[in-house]
Amino acid sequence: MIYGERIRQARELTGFTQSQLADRIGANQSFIAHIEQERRVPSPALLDAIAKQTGFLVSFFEQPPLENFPLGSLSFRARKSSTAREETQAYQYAKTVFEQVGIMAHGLQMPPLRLPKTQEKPSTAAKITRSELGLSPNMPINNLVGTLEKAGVLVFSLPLTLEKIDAFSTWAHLISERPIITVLSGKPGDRLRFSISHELGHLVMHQAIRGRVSTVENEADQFAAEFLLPSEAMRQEIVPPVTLTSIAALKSRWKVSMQALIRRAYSLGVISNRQYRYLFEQMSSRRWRKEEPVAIQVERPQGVRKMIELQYGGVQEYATRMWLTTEKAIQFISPYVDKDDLRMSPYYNSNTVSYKIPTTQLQNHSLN
Amino acid sequence: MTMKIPNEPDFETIYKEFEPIVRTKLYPALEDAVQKANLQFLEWGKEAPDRQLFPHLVRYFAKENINELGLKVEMENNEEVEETEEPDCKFNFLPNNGLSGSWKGYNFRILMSDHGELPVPASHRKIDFYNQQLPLPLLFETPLESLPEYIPVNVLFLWEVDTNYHFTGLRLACPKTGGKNRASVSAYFNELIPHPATTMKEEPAQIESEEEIGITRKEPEGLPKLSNDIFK
Repeated sequence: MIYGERIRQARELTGFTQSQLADRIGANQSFIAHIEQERRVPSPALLDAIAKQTGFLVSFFEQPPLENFPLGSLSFRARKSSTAREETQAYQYAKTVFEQVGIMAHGLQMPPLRLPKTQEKPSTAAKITRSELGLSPNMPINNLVGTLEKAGVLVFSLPLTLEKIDAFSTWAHLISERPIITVLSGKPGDRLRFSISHELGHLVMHQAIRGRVSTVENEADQFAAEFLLPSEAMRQEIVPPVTLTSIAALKSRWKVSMQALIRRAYSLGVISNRQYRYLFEQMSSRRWRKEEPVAIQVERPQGVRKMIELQYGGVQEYATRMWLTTEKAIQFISPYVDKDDLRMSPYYNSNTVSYKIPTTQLQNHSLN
Repeated sequence: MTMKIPNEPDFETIYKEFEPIVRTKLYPALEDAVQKANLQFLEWGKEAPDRQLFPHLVRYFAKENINELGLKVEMENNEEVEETEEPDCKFNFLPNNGLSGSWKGYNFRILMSDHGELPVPASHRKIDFYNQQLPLPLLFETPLESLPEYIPVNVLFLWEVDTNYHFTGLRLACPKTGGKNRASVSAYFNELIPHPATTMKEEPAQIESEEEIGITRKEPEGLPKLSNDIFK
């Protein structure tokens, strides 16, 4: 049986509208709509064409679709600022990775969950979370993603860059209930650390959404600020003269953007409103609001890669077991490995900056 | 007395000598002093800073900052200051006349830039300074081995602002000639110092090994066929 929902999943994950997919396979939009609603059955040739365009194997469309992967924070964070199609693409990517992790997790021992759920105010919730994660109350968090993964949080990294979405999160049932943070690509490391901490705030504080979306978002921001930049430490470290130079030095130590540090200094009353505005004007005149100095490395999650290595050893087996073409499988794992490793791969084609897989070279490609 | 000039001084060499005190002391001190001077005028309810008074305020706040950052500059009100962290860096007390000092055998003055150029020297002492004439006491008191490799040894730090009196940068210049008019002023070099933030790097983190994530293999039992059961 061919599941229409699976065809929709593959299409949306690839970022196609029904019309775009129809054009690529020589069909019309209504035909795609009918297939997805299971009112018509595609021919084997058409199914092959869909598979080729989306990077999935035909057998993927024969798998019963996954239910119940909640939208989580995506349902209220992104809507105001991104297109529905972008949001759907990110969601379908995360849902597919979640499904893969669900399959792989059955053969593996996952770390026990150590993430609190609390109704406390954001600053208190952040302190509790630091404590539960075994972090010092007043020191920079060097490896944020690694710390979360060790505490049982699943961190997915998508090979997808969307201007308005950095990350989103949800609690989902995978053997037991697990928190998931999905991170998108193409943003600076310091910005992603704040976005990940913002999502952590949602996971810890917002199992049930109460109040306005803006309030919930504001609370998550307050959580992230206290979690990454504890007030006590900031009051000791943000000392006069507060300049872009001193803020940049703090950025290199705390791995949080200069803009977030200036906001933090203001919210704690360390600098005045005028000083806050002056510093932001300085940032603007140097064009640092778009691209700040002091590059912070993007933290790469290790969990998904580790699972693939333990279960399948390499890309080929992973691709087969997940009903993906090898090219698509490499796309899925690309955020978890060094670009240099990928370039070493016999499947990587630097001319097209895509992952061309010669069918004659379907050898097992180790992730190591 | 004019020093003989065996080599053309260059920005890279001289900046390298000054870098330890510029990056962490002089640059932030002046960056913040300009900020404080701006905020002071706002505090007084002025829409724009006064052109004449602004550099004086900057000098005052710069002195305060330099003291806070661990160097020692005498304040005009004879306020007590802490001992210096850098004994090699000495500031001179020049009331109402910019900031000046010495470091590793160089003499330096801190002045407001004239739209990116060296300001025209307004006194005989400054003209001597621009013309690389060493003050006699320094010449006789400094052992030869302490003099910098490059002569001339007089350099300028020029802070600059935009039309809104916002800090835009700090220059390092080495004057060559100077007289009472613009045409008489020339320099070996006059270059913008990179903002310290642009040369900073992320502090190295302690990267935990992948094994510590805590995902391990269970006893082999085969992989399940995909179904919704595993998510329930």
